[in-house]
Amino acid sequence: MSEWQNRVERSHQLDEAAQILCATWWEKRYSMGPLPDWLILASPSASNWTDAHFVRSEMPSPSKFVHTLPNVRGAALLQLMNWHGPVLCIQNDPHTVHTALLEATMLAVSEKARVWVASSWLEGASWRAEFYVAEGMEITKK
Amino acid sequence: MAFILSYGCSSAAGRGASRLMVVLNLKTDVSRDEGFYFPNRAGDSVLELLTGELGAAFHEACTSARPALDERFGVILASTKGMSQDFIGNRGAERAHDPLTPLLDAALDHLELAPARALCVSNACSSSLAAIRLAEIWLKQGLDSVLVLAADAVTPFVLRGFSSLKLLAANRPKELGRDGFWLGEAAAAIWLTKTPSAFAVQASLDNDGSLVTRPATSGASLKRALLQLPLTPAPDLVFAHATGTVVNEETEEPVLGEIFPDIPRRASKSLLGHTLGASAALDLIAACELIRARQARRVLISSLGFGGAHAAALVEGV
Repeated sequence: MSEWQNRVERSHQLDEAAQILCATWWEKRYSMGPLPDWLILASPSASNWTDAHFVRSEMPSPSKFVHTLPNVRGAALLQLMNWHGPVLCIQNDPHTVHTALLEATMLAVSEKARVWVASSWLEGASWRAEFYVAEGMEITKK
Repeated sequence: MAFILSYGCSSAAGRGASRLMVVLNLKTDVSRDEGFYFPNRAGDSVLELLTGELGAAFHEACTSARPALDERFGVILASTKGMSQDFIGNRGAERAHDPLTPLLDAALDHLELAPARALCVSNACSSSLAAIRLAEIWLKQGLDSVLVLAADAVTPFVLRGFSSLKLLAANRPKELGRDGFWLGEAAAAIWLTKTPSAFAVQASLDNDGSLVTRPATSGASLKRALLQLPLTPAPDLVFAHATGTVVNEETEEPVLGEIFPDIPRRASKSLLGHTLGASAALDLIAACELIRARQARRVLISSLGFGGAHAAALVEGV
């Protein structure tokens, strides 16, 4: 079990989208700078992959079902970050990440806030995650 | 702060805010076959069903009032699962895009709307209040008005999931000793503007990443969401999330009891079912109706969701 998994409640029950989000943040945590005022979750394809697995399973798994909500992948990330605050889970496929970055930039300016965008998705056969930080008029990919 | 210009809704009670209030005021059970479904829903796909019900809610709102046509407006759809049943069916086929955006696109086509900004918010069962909070921010950022749409349906996917979690009540909703909830369906449309109107609303969010399927037992996150709102003067009514699950009651009741010890509490889920992402929109509309009928002046709404999501809203007559 990796170090981040020891810090998350029932980490073995996380779906792949949540695992990659946590693993990526753990890897980048020292380069992220101060914790955010707002967090935006941007999940291309939402929870489709987990939805499909839940539907296919003969014995429906409750832990799989809870991850059929796209915002739930953020719960483990918040535990790792040891952070609380306003979270928005945004969907606008095929422009979900682009929309989230625009929203983050506008939020950073109008609320004078530091806004993180956390995104995880399945690309081909591999899971990927990316983090962005918006502050003032700038947005930086981490 | 934003102002509520107009609203409309549809639920198991039927179409219209007045139907909603008949059920809430008379405590009439309108459940059908183990759930609180939209009347006359047979045969529709989830996409057609929700688009039609959102259309009815939108037209009810616009019959009362709608922003001027030349205004710059945005649209936010609040939903937990959107049209996911149509999307994956029972075959488990995977699709490239999320199941919420097609519902938003279908609703915009159906309503012939071309907003300056549009997106979906999926903050589990607190999605409606998250959308209201985002709408407040969009108004501050320069839009003239924002239409918040909220919708969820009871599908085999959702029923199977909540059954697996053992959160569905075995007893009928009005019976004593129930230990869970019945699912419900709803659609709502709420026009928000920055121009003073009949109702003012403020929403707040807090997420603590507590255990995935239950709120933080300390109630700390719910308290933080509540205390972000201007609670002086105190609200004279509280709409609790009150799903009926043991976990919800163990967390929400002590917090509401501590902050609002002498303020009466109401809940809608035992009469309308738990309508998931649309549930707080129904509570918000019920609050407006009670204020309009002079049965309340300031109403607090509490809303919780999986993934540690906590939200609250305060609505008052202007």
